[in-house]
Amino acid sequence: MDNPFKYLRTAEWQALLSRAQIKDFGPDEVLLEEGHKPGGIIIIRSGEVKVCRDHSGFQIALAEEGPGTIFGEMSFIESEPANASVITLSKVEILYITHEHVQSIIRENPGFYGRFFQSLAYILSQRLRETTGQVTRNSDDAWATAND
Amino acid sequence: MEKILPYIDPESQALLRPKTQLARAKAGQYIVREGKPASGLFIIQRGAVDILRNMGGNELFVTTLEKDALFGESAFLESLPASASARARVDTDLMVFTPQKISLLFEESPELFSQFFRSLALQLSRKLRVATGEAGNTTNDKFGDMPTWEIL
Repeated sequence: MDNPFKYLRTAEWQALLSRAQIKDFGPDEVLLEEGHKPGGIIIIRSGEVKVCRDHSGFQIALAEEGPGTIFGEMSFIESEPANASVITLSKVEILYITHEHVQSIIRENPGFYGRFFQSLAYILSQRLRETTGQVTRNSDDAWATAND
Repeated sequence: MEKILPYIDPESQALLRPKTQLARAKAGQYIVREGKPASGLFIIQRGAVDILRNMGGNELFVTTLEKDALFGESAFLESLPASASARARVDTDLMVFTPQKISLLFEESPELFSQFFRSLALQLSRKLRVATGEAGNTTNDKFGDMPTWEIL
């Protein structure tokens, strides 16, 4: 699969891949659970997933994502539990790279450290842009509905 | 700088400081306009900044940022037009990082490069955590309460 980390060099991406496990899931399985700390970074290799958040006992779907999407990176950066759940919508194959493996590559290759976090910052920036756009659109819809 | 970019050690800070610019915005002055290129990454040193987004021709108030808050990351990282406007609520002092000035420094100091982007990733992750909560809340608002955001 293509390297989803924009600034990682091919050899660095290969180093990550060499430590990744491939895992398969059926539809409607939980890849990441809100409130729980994942032990690794997940990259969707094939299939579709939905991102959900619990709101007063109801699951609110925030987005649907496919191959190349990365999850669990926020927990890696912040050492905090996941802020949303990721549930499979179809058969899904993922690459799973433990936090320990990422840290070991960082220790082995100082250049990887900067380029990995630069790539994560880029991914998070894109996601933040999409999410804040969604907040504005939802608010716009709610405003229109309330004024009908 | 230490608060907002916590992984930058004193040695790297000493390299970075001469490459930052200080700017002052008067109350009501736009620092960044949505859809236009932003001039850099901003840290509020003193004062407060309102973040605004266009919604159907109106400016929607999103939030107010205060001392030590960071903005302009998306334009800085992605070289895209600003996704929101930033307007000084009161007279505000800012520290500005421009890509042109600090990219050369990154080549000279790989440590600073790593520490800077690790810090930036942390701030973005924290912002996204808050924004994801808001996305869930506003989706729920569609079925319940009126939106609580202020229309300017």
